[in-house]
Amino acid sequence: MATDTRLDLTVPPPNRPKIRAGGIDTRSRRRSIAMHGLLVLAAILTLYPLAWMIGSSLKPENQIFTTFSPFPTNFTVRNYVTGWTATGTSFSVYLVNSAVIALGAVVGNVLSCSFAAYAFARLDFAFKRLWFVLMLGTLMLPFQATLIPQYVLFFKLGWVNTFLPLIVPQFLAESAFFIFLMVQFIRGLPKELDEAASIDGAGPIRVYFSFILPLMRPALITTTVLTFIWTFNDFLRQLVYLSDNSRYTVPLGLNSFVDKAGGSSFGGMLAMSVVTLVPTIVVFMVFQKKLIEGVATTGVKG
Amino acid sequence: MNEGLSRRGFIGLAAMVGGTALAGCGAKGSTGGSGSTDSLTFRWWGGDERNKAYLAALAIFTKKSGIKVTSQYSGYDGYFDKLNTEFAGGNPPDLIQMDTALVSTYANKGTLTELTKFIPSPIVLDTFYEPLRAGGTVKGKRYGTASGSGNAPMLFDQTVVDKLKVDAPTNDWTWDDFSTIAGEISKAWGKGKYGAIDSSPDDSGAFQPWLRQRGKDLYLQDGTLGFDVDALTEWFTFWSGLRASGAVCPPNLLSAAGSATGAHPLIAGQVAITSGWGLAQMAPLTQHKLGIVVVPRTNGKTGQALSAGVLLCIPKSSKNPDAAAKLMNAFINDADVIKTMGVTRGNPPSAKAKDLLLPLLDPANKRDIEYADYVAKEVAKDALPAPATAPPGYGDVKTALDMAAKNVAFGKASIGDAVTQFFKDAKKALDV
Repeated sequence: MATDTRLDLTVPPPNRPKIRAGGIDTRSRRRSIAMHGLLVLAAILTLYPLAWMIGSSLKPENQIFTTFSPFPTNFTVRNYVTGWTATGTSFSVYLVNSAVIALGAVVGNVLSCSFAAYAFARLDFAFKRLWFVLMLGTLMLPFQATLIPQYVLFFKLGWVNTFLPLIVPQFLAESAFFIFLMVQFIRGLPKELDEAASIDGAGPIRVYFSFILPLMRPALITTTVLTFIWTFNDFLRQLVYLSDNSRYTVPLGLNSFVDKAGGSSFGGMLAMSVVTLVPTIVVFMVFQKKLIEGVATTGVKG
Repeated sequence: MNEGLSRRGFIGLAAMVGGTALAGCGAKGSTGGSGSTDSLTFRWWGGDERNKAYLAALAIFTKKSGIKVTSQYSGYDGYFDKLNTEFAGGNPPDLIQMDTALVSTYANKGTLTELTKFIPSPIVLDTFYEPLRAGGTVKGKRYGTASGSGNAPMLFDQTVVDKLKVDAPTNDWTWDDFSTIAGEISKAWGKGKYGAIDSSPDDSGAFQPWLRQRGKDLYLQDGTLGFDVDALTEWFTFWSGLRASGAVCPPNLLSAAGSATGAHPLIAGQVAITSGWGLAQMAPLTQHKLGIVVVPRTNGKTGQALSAGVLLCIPKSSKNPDAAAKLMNAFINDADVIKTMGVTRGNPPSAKAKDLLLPLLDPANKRDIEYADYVAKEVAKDALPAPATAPPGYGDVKTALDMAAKNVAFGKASIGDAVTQFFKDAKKALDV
C-alpha cells in the first residue's frame, strides 16, 4: 500500500501533489535555515578565541589588551620577529626538537601497536586473556602514578635529558589506547581472509604484512594523527625529561614566555602560539580526508 | 611460505633503526654535577629578563672562579613538578631557586641541605640587611638565602589626592590617620569612589604588619598561627567600621584587586589608596602620579616583615654542594654579579647591592629601591623578631582568611562566625 502518494509514479500526474525541485517543502527549508544559522553562530563563538589570538599576534604589543576588536588596526608582524628569538634559543630549535620526537613517536606507535594488535586479535598464545586484560589495565593508571617510577627507571639507564624516554617506549607498544583501537579494527576484518591466505600457504607473518596491514590503513592513519597531535602538545613528560634549553620542545618553549612573577611578553607568546598551531592543523588537514574515509567505509574491499 | 622480510617489513625496520639513531643524537645527556669541583647545575624559573640576567651573571662567575655552571631554566608552571620528580629520582640540580612559600615543605621532607656549615665561609651573610639574614630559615635551621627584599607598601594616587586637596599619606601615618584620610577622600571625591581599598583579606600586605605592630605575627617559628580570635575579630571590626562610613570600598570591587591590570580599582579610578602592590607593577598602568608609603603604623612601629624574595637552596643530594655554596655567595657579595642581576629578582636585599644598582636604574625602579632601603632601615629600628617562614599549608590559610573577610564584607556572615570558621579552616590547613 503506497502511503506517500507524492512520490508514487503510478498515480497519474494531475493527482500527484507538486513538490519543489530539491525535494523539500517550505517547513523543512525554514527548519534547515534555522539549524544552519544556529550552527554558524556556534562556529563563530567557538572560533572567536582563535580569531582573537591570531588578530592579537598581529597587533602592536601595547594594543593587545586595550583594543577589543580581534582585527588589528595597525597590522604588524613584529611580534613574530621578536618572539622567535625571545627566549634566548631560536624557536626553530624547539620546532625541530618537537618534530623529531613527534615523528619518532608516530613511527614507533604505528609499527609496534599494529604488531601487538595483530597478536591479540588473530593469534592464540598462552595466557592471552590475561595479557589482554593487563594491557587494558594500563589504560586505567593515572599519569601521576607512573611518573616517578618511570623517571627512576630512565635515570638509572642514564636517559634523562635526552629524547630517548620520549621515543623508545613508543617502539615498545606502550600505548594501550592504540593497541585497543587496532584490535577492534582488526576484529572487524573477516576471518575468511586469513583462512584463505593460510590455505594458500601463508604463515602468520605473511598474512600480517600482505593482508591485514594494508587493510588497517584507516586505523593506522588515526593512530598517526592522534599520536602526532598528542606528542606535539605534550607538556609534562617533556618538561620532566628535558633539562637543557637546546633540547626543549615547543610546549616548553612557549612556557618560558609567561612567567608568573616577571613581565610577560604577550605579543611574542601569542605569535609563537600561532606558529605552534600550524603543524598540527596541517597534519590534521592532510589526513582528514583519509580519516573520514576510514570511518565511512566498512574496511572490506572486494 | 614465509618469504622472509617483505618490503614493508624492511621499511619498518629501517625506520625503527633510523628513529633510534635520531633519538640517539640527543643521547649525549648532561647528568648534572660530575662530582668534581669544576661544575654544577643551577636551575631557576623566570621570565626573559631574569633568564638573560642569570645567564650573564653565571658567565661572570665562571670566569672568576673557574667553576662551570650548567644552567636550566623554565617558566614557573611545572617547575616544581619537575623538581619533585627529580627529588624522587635522586638527581636534583646542585643549586635551585626556591619559592619562600614552599621552602618549609621541602625542608620538612629532608630534601634540602642545611647551610650552617657554609656560613661564614664561603657564604657571607652580613652584607644583607639585618632583617633579611634570617630569610630561608625554617624552624630555626637555615635552608636558603634571600635574593630580594619584598615589603608591604601602600600606594596612593597622588594626582587625585592633590586634586581633592586632602592631606596625602606620609610614612609616619597611623591607622587613625588612615581612617581620617580615607574618609576625607571618599567624601570629597564623590559617589561610587572610595578613599581606600578594603584590605581585610590581604594577609601579607596589611594584616601581617598590623599583627607585628601588636607584638604578634601571622605564623610562629613552629608553624602554628601567631594570633588568636581576639586579634582577628579586632581586625575585621576595624574594617567593618570603615566600610560602614564609606571610607573603604564595598566588596564587589575586590574581585579586580587580585592582579595588576587596568581593572584594578586604583587604576580604574575607584579607590585612591591600595595595599598589596608596588610601584613597579602599578605605575606603568596609569597616567596618574603614584605615591608609596608604608602600611600605617601603630606606636611608631611599621611592623613590616621583609620577605626574602626567591630563595636559593642546595638539595641534600646535590653532587657538588661546595661549588653551589660558592655560587650562592657570589650572588650575595660579588659586585659584578650583583650589577648584572639588577632588580630581576626584586628589590636589592643589601645596602651594598642598593648602592651598586641605584646609578644604573630608571626613575620608577629607583623609587622602588629607595623606598625598599628606607623600609629596611625602619624594620631594623622596629627591632621586632624576624617573621617565621611560611609553613606548609600557608596557601590554604591565605584562602581561608580571604574567604572569611569577604563573607563579613558581603554580610554573609557575622564577624564572630567568620572568625570561628577561619580558625577551623586554618587548623585543618596547618595540621597536615
